[in-house]
Amino acid sequence: MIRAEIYRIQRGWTFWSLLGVAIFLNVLAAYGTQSQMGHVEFATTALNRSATQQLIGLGFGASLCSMIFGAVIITRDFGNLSIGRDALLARGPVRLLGMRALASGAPMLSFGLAGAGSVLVVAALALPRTGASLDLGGHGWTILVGVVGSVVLAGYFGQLVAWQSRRSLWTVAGLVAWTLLIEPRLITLVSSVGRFLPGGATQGMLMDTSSITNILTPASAYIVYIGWLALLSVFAVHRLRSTDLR
Amino acid sequence: MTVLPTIELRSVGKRYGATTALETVELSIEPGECVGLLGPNGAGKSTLLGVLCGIIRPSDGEARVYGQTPGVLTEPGATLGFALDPAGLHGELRVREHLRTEVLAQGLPAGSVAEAILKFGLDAYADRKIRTLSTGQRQRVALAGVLIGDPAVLVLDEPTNGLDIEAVQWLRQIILGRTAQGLTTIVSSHNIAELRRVATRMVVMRTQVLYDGPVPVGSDDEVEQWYTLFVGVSRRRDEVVL
Repeated sequence: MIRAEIYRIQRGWTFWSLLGVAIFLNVLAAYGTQSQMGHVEFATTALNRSATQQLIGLGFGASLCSMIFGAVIITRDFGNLSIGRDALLARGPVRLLGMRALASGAPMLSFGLAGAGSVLVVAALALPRTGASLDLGGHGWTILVGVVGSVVLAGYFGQLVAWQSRRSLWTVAGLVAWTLLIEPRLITLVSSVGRFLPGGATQGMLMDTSSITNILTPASAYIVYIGWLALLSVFAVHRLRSTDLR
Repeated sequence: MTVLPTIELRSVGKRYGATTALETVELSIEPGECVGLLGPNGAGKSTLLGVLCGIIRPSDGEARVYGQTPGVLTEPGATLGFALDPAGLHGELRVREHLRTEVLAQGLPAGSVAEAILKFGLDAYADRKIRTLSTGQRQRVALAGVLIGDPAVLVLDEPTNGLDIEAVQWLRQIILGRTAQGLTTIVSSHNIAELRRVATRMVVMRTQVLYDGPVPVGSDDEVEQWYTLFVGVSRRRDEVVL
């Protein structure tokens, strides 16, 4: 069954088109940010690292596409009623939840690597034009790993939300509104609480202090985000055990 | 040694808020039977089939397929196949890809895909996306997918909807062939004449089982009158109670 899930997830346009959009938007954001940077005559190590971190941190933009992908691979099966057959072959909806999480590991990782890789390439190519150069020293690697981690975890966040909501349009609209509008405001307005939200934890993973300064440490941020996923998994299992599949 | 019935429903009830879809349904189906399920719209036929397939949770009672809970069968592909809605397929997949997922999910040999394409007459549209197919073509694809592993029990909900005469005849041969092999089939339909051609037993229901017995004999008109009277009497009885 797991092979069937992996085979099916990678068929169709959803995965490849969202991956393409994620790369395109990341490249656009990184180039846009680089073009705002002034030219320097003598780049110091600190300046190189700062410019590199500024650009690679933008890789987390792929998380929205990863989140949508995670959601859609669940909701579309509720939409076309094929979820019942999938659950039968998986020997129960709860096992299906686990299998789909496993099967989507590789696609989620692809989003993470594409998110990190796209900004890394832009940083390597574009920074020399400003007189600076790519330098992953300092917190560079931590941020790069944070990009991969946050994008992968965002995919699972979308997937677990979708087990609750089950409808494609509302789920995608809700995730976009939450990620782009509601959550950033909550984090800024009540940072002491907001930093524990998934988006706040993402800022911790990326060591991003642009909107709040009291971010979580990277290690705490991973724990908090995984905690959210664990909580959502409990809710998803409860819903699958207590409701019909159609 | 006790032989388990293929399917057993024990006091199954299903409520959606104040609406009762099923009420104390008792049903036992033996291997090799083809049960025709009749009832007016809203009688709970689809709900009953959903309970049998493990995708609808009964509010009361329990369903068993070979003594197991339908949603967690040890060999699901070989035990239970269902086509409850021709739309219940992954529309973004091509026909060949859909069959491939079934083969992978059921652990069948890879060659089963090509065999199924020939056996079920899907070669003309094997590489088309499912969402571009007609209802009848989708129904064929759905059936090919569930029959690819020769399940012991096949559950079909109004399978002739949207099918042309040729496809109906094709489906009839499949069902009769299964019965001849000793496999079990449950078919719901509004088409009494078609059900009489394939069923070995008839069940009439309207939230409860009203009739469970041999396929009625007589002309199509006589059987339709029998059915109308049956459902009508039950409706009037409910109205009196209300």
